[in-house]
Amino acid sequence: MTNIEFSLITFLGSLLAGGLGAMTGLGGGIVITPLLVFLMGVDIRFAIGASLVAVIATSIGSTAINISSGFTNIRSGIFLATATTCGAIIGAFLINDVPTSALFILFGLVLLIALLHTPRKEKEVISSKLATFLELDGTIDDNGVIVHYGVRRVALGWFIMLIAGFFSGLLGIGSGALNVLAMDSIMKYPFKMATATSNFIMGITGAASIGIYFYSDIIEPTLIMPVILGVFLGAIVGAKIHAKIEAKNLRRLFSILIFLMALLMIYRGIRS
Amino acid sequence: MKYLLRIGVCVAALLILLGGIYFLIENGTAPARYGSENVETQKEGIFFINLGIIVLSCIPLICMLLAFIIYAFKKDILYAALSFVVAALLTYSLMIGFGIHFFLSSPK
Repeated sequence: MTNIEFSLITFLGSLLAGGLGAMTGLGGGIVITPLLVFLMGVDIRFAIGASLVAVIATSIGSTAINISSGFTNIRSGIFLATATTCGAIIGAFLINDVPTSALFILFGLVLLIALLHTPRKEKEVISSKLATFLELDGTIDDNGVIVHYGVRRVALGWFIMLIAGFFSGLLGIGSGALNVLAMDSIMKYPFKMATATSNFIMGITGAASIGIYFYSDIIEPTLIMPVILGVFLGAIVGAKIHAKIEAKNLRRLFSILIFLMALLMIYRGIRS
Repeated sequence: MKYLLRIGVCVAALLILLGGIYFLIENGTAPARYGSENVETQKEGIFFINLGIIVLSCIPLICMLLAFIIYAFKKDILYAALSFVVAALLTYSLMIGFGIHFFLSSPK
């Protein structure tokens, strides 16, 4: 395969991944690595590097859109980013020391976790003392109705974010699912707030790993080029379509795809 | 803030596109190799792609520095400190990477 063919196929695959990720709200970054590994035969560490750059780009892009809609809680983002950046730096440093088979298995497991989450029923939450001290609570504009929300279990949430950051650094993913788990299920942020703020945090987390990825020699610029352009374009188009359609069936289809990829990753990890 | 994010992403994407086109014009017909074997260094255009990636990774850092300045002005010591910590961690990681790889592709 020549470079042109390789770049073109990778570009189209990433376009699809970015588009589906944005349309379904599941995020396309997480399928980039399995796509590159299984379809294009790329070494898993190079794939992880490419996927991380894509995560940073989509995070910044979507934050640029979200920030004016008021769903991003910047205070909480900064507070929780202290956890994810620490985790990410540790994870990124370990990437060349963790055996490849373990990377495959861990990646598969994290993909499965990404599928588990179901939004909880939202009810009023009273802020804990620590959350009040940190001023993490805020208001959310729910179709014209301004609702105040409280935040709880800050320490546990921070700790889960540390783990989320660790996996982000180790596997080159945004850890969106773990972020949302911490913010929605544990700290009780409203779901929209949790996803938008998690998106904001992902870019910071990713930037914390990228320098170490450069250092570890897993950044392959010519591989990243088609991936990033594809994901970026796909995410823009996907987000436009997302606003217009109810994507339940698409979401189900994409979930099945992620599930299959998870099994493939785990199988490859166990076999090798 | 919104414009910083938008402009930053667009600049990064353009740099990567530019580098990519340059790379493909020069190396388009060479075989692609990204397997576990050592990747051959292909130089053309890599500089621009790397620059694009670096611009991209600096955006969160600039955001955190901005946040630090804003909170410091508001005398919100706690959040000024928190954004400073995040900015410092990001700088640490980026320094490690830049020191070695900015203009080089792969010193082995």
